[in-house]
Amino acid sequence: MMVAEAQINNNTINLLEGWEEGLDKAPEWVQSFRKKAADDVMKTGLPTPAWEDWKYTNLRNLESVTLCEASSLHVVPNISSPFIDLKPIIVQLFNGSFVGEMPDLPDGLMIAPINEVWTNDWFKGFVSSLSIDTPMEALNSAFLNDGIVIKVSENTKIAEPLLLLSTYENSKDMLSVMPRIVIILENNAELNIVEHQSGIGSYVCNQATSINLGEKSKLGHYILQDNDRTQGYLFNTTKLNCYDDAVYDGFSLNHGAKLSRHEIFADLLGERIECIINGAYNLISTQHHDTTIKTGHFSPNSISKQIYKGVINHEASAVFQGRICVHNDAQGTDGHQLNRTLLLSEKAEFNAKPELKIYADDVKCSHGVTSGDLNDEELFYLRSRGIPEIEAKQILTKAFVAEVIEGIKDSVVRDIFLSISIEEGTK
Amino acid sequence: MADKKTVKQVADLAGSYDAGFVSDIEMELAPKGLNEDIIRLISSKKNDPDWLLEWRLKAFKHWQTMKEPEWAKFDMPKIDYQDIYYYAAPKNAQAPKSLDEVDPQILEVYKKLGIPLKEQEMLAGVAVDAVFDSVSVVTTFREKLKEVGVIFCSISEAMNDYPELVRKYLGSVVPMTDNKHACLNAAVFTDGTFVYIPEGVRCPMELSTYFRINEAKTGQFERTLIIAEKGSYVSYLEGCTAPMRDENQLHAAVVELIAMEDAEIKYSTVQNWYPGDENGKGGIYNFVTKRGICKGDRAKISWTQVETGSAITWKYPSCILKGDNSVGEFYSVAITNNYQQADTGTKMIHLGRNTTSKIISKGISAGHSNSTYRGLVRVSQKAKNARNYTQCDSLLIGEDCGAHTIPYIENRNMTAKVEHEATTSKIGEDQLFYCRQRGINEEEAVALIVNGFCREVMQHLPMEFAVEAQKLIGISLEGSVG
Repeated sequence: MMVAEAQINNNTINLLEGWEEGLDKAPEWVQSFRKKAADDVMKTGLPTPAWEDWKYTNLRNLESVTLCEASSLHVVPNISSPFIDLKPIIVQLFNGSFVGEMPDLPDGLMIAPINEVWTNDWFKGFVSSLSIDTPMEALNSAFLNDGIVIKVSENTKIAEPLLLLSTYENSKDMLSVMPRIVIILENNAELNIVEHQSGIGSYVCNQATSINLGEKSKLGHYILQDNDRTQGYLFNTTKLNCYDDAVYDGFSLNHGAKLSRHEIFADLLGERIECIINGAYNLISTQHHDTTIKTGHFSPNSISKQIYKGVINHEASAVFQGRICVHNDAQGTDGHQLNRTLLLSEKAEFNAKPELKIYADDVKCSHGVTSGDLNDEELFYLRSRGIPEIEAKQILTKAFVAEVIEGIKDSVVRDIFLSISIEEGTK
Repeated sequence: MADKKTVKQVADLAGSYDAGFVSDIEMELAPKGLNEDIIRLISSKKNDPDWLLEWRLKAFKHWQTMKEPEWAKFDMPKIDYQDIYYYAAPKNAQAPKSLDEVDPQILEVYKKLGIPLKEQEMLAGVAVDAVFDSVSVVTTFREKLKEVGVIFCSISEAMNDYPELVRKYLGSVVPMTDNKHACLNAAVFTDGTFVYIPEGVRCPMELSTYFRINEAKTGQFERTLIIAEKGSYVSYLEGCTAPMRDENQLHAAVVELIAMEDAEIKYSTVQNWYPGDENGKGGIYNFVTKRGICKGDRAKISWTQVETGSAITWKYPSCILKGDNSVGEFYSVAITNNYQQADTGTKMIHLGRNTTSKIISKGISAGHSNSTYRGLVRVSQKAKNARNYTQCDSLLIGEDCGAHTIPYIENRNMTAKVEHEATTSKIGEDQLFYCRQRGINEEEAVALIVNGFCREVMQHLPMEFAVEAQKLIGISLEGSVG
């Protein structure tokens, strides 16, 4: 939500620095698209806790960072990801731009850097039709250049999963990257994408993901976010448009950054859609992670489900904001949301704002939020069987998170997520 | 529980807003508008002590700098504060000593409202401090309460008789600068109720005040202050009805509760102010700031409310749980119909150890109305083993209404358990069918089902209110089906 009064601060100027670079090489529509977005950011400034949607996340610390340009890479980074076992199609992004060689792609799957396809009408049509709802999105749009497009043609089922490896690395000043990922599934197309984001050093990554799911299409979208826990700033805005009978199965495992926010807008525009957005977060030290999900039901008979589980340790803090909005025409909606958070330390902090906004009467909607520490009785049960306290805590925490991972529809991906250790978060 | 009797009552009362009539008692009006002179006038009319006048003026000064709260989910025209009367008092109302001295017409109004003062004086049930517009006209049972040391009087009387008590606590829970409406109240409040329960006393009867807005275009600015000393108990009932009229009226009340060690305050409200007609014309704007503090250990504050009236309701009865082991409760039913808008909920602020709070909120929307639950549960770092349970259910009747749930949950203590759940659904077709095939017409069936939906809250109302509240639910939903 944009604030009416303009409030320009240094901070905005900071992150906007260099947005005009390469502008003249972009097609005309991109130029005006970027200019408008930059204007938007300048008008509103970066969000402050005075904004209702940013009540619990403060970007103050961003003000003091000095930014530098992304260094171009000469060596393709070594691939290390648990998802290699999937034998996937691998695409690598380094500091936001495509690196390495394009793998052989099956028929019907198109992958290309954004600045190679942006003269195409279908790309222009889709991207320019997207509304810009947050300053982080506007900021990303002002830099539209880096990133890739993934497109699956009509009636095509891609058997192999696609592994998208995004790496951020920087050793000097704060690096700022603004990649855009565009995923388009045409009618009756199917694809599984695993996104593995990892970062080292100090950086500001502000990614925007735009997804369009055509009729009867199916997308599995699984994210492992495994960044530097102490230095990076990570913003992720996902925009999801679904049409009749589309299925979206989303899951993200977030290990956070120094400060991170994942904002998801899911617009269910067609009927009989199934939209699942699940996730887990595991925070330590002084990390702050914010999950904000806004689901909009615009047409009848769709299902949306969200389950998020969080583990917060040390002095970390987490935010969960979820809104299910059922519009007037969306009769027969089934919308459910659940957030459960474990606090493992005395200084951990948790804030939540789950919202229901309902304008149709024939609906079933619910939300639930719980927070607290581990159950004493369960701990006692394990300890009475000779399991040391620390181990018992780990077992219980792991089981707590596993519950949501088990919801992933793809069984191989599910097993890999289950094998990822979250022990560090429980110590 | 809704039974045949309730359904019959609903049917009997169908057709019109029952409490909608205007009585023509001569009123004394101060000029319209708000400025320092009006505040001085109110102050002199109320025989305020100097410190209170200063307090009022300070509030007014601050009020002018404050912004209108805009975060609530309302659609309403801007309030013209200069187009409102801030003082109205019934003429010839110089402190009557008994009912005989009261203007018979006023007594007639009460009769229509169903408050048989004389009867009540006989029946040792409920003491009524009846507020007619702004001046408290009659107070009954004061003598009886005095015997046990309970003070139950209008706040202006308290100002004269117990100035230290009032001065000590007035504005201590809701500071004058709290929000724009509370600040306005601090500047212009004309009357209200003062209750003081001494240490160890269990108030022998339910205390009750009936508020009533009567003269056209007078805002009602009530201020209620209830203090329960160590180990005491009081149950307080507040009920509202207002006559039918066309212009929107502003109501900005403030209620402050203070519960000391081991004390318990139970505060129940049935709010049935004029909600406007079927087209959303008229109706009361109800902006109320209600807050209680559990100052001592093991103190308890319980809010129960049934909100059926007002064009706009803006109300968040809250508990500050400061004492260890203190308890806060909030039970609410909010019904909106036609073009009513309600944004209501609670705040539970856990500061002490082992504090517990429970929130049960039931919202029913019909017609073109919108009802919103907005609540905050905050557990501070020191609130070890705090416990909260929140349940918000909404029921939708018809396709043009809206039901919204906006809870804020802030947990800063790992040993605290905070749970929140909310559901939204419509009346089950099977339930309706079951009632209809037994010969109950649709409207009655809806009233019956809704009464069942609200039962969890209704059972926390004192007996005196339960029947009235059940009637109200039926009346409020008139015309929402079929």
